[in-house]
Amino acid sequence: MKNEFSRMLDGDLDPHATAPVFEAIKGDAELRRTWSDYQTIGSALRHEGNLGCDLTLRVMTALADEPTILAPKLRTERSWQRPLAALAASAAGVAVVSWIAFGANDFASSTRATTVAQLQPSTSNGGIKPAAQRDIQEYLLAHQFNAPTSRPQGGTQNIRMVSASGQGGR
Amino acid sequence: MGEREADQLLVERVQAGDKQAFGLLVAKYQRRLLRLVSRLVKDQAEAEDVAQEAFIKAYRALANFRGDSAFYTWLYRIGINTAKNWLIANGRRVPTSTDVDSEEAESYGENDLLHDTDTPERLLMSKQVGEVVNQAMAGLPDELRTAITLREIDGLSYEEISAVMECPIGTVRSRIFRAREAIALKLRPLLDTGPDRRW
Repeated sequence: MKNEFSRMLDGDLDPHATAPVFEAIKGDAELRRTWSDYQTIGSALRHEGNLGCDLTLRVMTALADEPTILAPKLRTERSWQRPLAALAASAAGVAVVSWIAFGANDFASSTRATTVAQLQPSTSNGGIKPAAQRDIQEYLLAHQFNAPTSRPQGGTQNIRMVSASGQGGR
Repeated sequence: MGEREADQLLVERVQAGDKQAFGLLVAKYQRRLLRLVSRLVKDQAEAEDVAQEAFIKAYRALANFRGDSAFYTWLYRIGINTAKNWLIANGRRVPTSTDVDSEEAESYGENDLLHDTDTPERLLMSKQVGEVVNQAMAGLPDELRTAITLREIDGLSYEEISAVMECPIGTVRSRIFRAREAIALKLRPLLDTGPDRRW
C-alpha cells in the first residue's frame, strides 16, 4: 500500500486505483503518518523551511466539529459528446437555411412562371374582346403586385405591368 | 495524471464526504501556506493560527471549488486574504498586492530559511530534520538518490525520469519508493518525538 501511496503523491496512480488507497487511509494512522513523512522529505529536499512544524493534527481537530461536505458532483461531459453536438447543430443549421433558400426559390419560380404564362399574349382569346382582355390583364397584374408573396416588392413589378399594358397600344 | 489532477482527486474525495482526504491536502500544503502567511504575519505562532484558519476557511468553501484553477492557487488566495484580514483586524499595515502574490508564493530560495521566525524548539527540530534527510540521502545508492532528486527537486514526471535515467518506468517507481522509505526510516524516530503531535 505504501508503494501506491508514493505513486499517488507523485500523481502517477490511475484515478480508479486511488479508491482503495483512500479507504485504507481512513482507518490506518500509520498510513497517514507515512503520507506526512513523505511530504516532510519533499519539503526538506526543497528547503521549504518550517520542517519542525506540523499543523495537520491541529487543523483536523478543529475540523472535527465541522459538518461533512457533500457537494454534488459536477456533470462531466464525455469527450465525444461535444464534437457530436456541434456536428448535429451544424447539420440542423444547414438544413434550415437550405429549406428557406431553396424551398422559397421553388415557390417563387413557380409563381413567376404562372405570371409569365398569364402575361403571354394569347393567340386565341376564347372570344373575349381585346379591351376586356386588357382590363383582365391589368386586374391580374395589380392582383399579383399586391398579393403577399415571397418575391421582393419593388420597381420590377411596375416595369412588368407597364410593359404588359403597353402591349395593348397604350 | 499530473499533480493538479492528483489534487483534484483529493478535493473530490472531500466533496464526497471524506474528511480524512482533506488531511492529506493539509499535510501536503501546510509548509508552503505557512511560508506564505509568514511573509505577512511575522510572528510565527500568529502565522500558524492564520494558516490554520485559512485551511478551515478552505474546507468550508471546498463545496464550491470546481477546479477552474489549481487547488494550491485557490488555497493561496484564501491564505493571503485570511492573513490580510488578520492584519486589518489587528491594526497592522496591509501590504499592497505587489508585495505578495501567488506567483511569488510559488517561488522559494535559500533566503526563505532566514525568514523562519520559529520558536527555538521548532528551529532546532527543523534543522535536525534537514540534517537527517541530508544524511539519509548521502547514504542512498546513486540510482535511488538520482531518482528522488529528479522527482522532488527538479519536479520531473516518472516518464521524464525514465528517459533521463534510461530505465523502465516501473524501475523509476520502485527507486523513488525505496528512496522515500529509506529516508523515512531514519526520519521517523525524530518526527515522532517532535513538538507537534502527529495526525
